[in-house]
Amino acid sequence: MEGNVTIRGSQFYFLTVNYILGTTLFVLIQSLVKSAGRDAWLIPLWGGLCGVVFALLWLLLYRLHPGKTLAQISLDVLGRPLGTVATVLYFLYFTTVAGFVLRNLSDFLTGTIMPETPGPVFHIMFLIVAGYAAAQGVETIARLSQLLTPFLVFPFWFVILLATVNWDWVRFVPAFQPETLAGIFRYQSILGYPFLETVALFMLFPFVGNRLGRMLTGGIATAAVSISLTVFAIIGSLGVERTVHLNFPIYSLVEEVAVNDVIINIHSVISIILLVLIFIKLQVLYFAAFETLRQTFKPRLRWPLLLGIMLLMAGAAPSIIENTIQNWEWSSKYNFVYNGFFGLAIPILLLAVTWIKAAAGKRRQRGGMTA
Amino acid sequence: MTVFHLWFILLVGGVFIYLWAKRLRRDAWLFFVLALMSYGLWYGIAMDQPFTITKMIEQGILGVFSVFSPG
Repeated sequence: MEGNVTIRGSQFYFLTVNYILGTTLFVLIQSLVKSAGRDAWLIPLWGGLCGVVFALLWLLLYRLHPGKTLAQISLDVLGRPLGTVATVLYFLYFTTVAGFVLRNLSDFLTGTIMPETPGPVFHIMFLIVAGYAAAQGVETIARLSQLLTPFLVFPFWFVILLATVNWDWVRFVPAFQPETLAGIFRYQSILGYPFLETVALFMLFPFVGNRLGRMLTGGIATAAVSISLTVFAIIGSLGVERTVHLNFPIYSLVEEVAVNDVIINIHSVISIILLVLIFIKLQVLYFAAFETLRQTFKPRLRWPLLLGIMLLMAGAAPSIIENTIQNWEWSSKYNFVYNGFFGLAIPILLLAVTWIKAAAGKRRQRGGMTA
Repeated sequence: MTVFHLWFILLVGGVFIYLWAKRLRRDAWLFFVLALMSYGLWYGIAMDQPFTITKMIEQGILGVFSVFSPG
């Protein structure tokens, strides 16, 4: 662990919730509803349940290597050459996820509020601030997330409640039909995005002062329920047919709300909430990518590394996907496989090698005692 | 395109030379590798033909699957 830097369990809980919600609320909803229709709100619940199981796996690995990040565990368990390959792969993984986050951000902004502004302008502006936060360390990121959370939660649910003026329960009927229920479990990419992407938070585990396990699993469960409730509110207010034809259903839902010409343009509130959530996710990914390289190659200065990562992430954002259609196709086919490699396969490999090494060590000890 | 090359070389070259002159060789090489990777990505963007990262990942996944699939 780095010095005495610690963050409180509650700060880590808020960070987990905000990280998972990140881009999910305006990227995922349309495809969830497309897949499972009026029962789509069930998908985040089973996805979240699996997310908790994944978290238990990461916690088990962490218990065997207390005080170490994912990069340090990889180097310790696999040795220097193979461990370096694993950490470089993790660095590239965090960079591609950050590329997705930035691309989703610019697609949202150019598609709604600022259609004339080129995407890289948003990427670079957000990266400069996220890089500065990452340079300040994990305490800054956690405190910022904790400070901002009340300003995100209450306005978000207030705006969603206002938007339910067009609510109709008929939009959920007929519920739980066999074909829609099959669609719920066919939608495996929810496991990859957002739940397996949470492996980036492993880089923060050694900094969490207390109740790490409860806060991580609680954060994942809270985020899953929040996504589910949001999808439920959107289906009840907009209906399935409208939702599947909207690029950003949550934005469109709120855009139409006007209370007696007094409360109007409240979609700007939802835009700001989404931008802040994306920023928190980007900060965590930037920090994870930076720490992965720093712990592997141990450079003496921090700023050249931060600058290099910024250049790479800014280049990754426009190059990550061709267009929205290619993104959907890629997500439905490869999202789980890709995220599963980093969120499940490598941690399971690390666990297996740790156990094998421990067993071999015990056998050697026993052999030494008998000889 | 010339402006793109000029900006990139000035920025990356400046930092690299500074680190090299300060005898921070490891820092310099690490920065250079990151800058080289980002140059590849930015070159495609500047040429208006961005290289698509997800397509490359897709090729990698399909390649691994073909190795392990029977027949």
